[in-house]
Amino acid sequence: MSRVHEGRRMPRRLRLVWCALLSVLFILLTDCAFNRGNIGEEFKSEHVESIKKGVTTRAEVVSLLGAPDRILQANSYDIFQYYRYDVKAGSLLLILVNFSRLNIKSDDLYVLFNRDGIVEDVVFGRRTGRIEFQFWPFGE
Amino acid sequence: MWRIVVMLLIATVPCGCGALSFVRVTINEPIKPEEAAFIVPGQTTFHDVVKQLGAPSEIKETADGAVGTYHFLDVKYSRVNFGWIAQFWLPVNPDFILSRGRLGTDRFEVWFDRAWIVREYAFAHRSSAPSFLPQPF
Repeated sequence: MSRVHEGRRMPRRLRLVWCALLSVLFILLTDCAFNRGNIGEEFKSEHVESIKKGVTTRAEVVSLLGAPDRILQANSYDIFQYYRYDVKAGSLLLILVNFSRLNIKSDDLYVLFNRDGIVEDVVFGRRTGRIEFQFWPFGE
Repeated sequence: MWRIVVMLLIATVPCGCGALSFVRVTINEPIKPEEAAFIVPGQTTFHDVVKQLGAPSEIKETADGAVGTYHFLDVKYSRVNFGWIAQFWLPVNPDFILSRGRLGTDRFEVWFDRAWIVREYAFAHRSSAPSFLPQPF
């Protein structure tokens, strides 16, 4: 058994190199920051699903989701737009070089009303679920 | 409004006090032309578009229908402080900073008729990806 353990152990020289590398990293790494911000409330799935086409009224939508962020008109419809932004920022602050990346994604909900003020359609797009913390600014 | 928000956010991103800083801000992911290839003008509906690409950032009325716009933004900011090295032998900490920010915007627009069927679509402003180069002159 002890032989097996010895076989798995890292060679002493390699361990020294790792220790040296970690020491250099800790010396260079002065700060690391993660920040997060939101604009608007998160859309609850049950609220969005409870809006029924041909049934729900404008007043009911307002009581459910609050006042819209924007009111639009298109194709004879009144459109309520609700939006939400989610921001995730990561920063790696070394002694010589600093890297920061800030990712912003939005959720958009459109509720279309006919002339009688009844919901004609609901369009919801969620992008914030895919947002992630990153600090490396290069590449895609 | 979202442009103002972005600028405020950029200002709050910590740049640190190192000699070199690289900051990137992205809003949403750009739609690639191949991702929009499924759209067939005259057939594809608003719901088909939303199902594949998500809801547009903006909807506006046009003379004969509506237009849905998807906004994307990619900001690259870089900064070099040539005075940073002098702090090791001078009593003061002088700054000599060169910096530059580049803004790449993309807009994907889909025009709908009055029945919410796609009439046409286009990448309204296909920008080349900005690069990190702290050279303001």
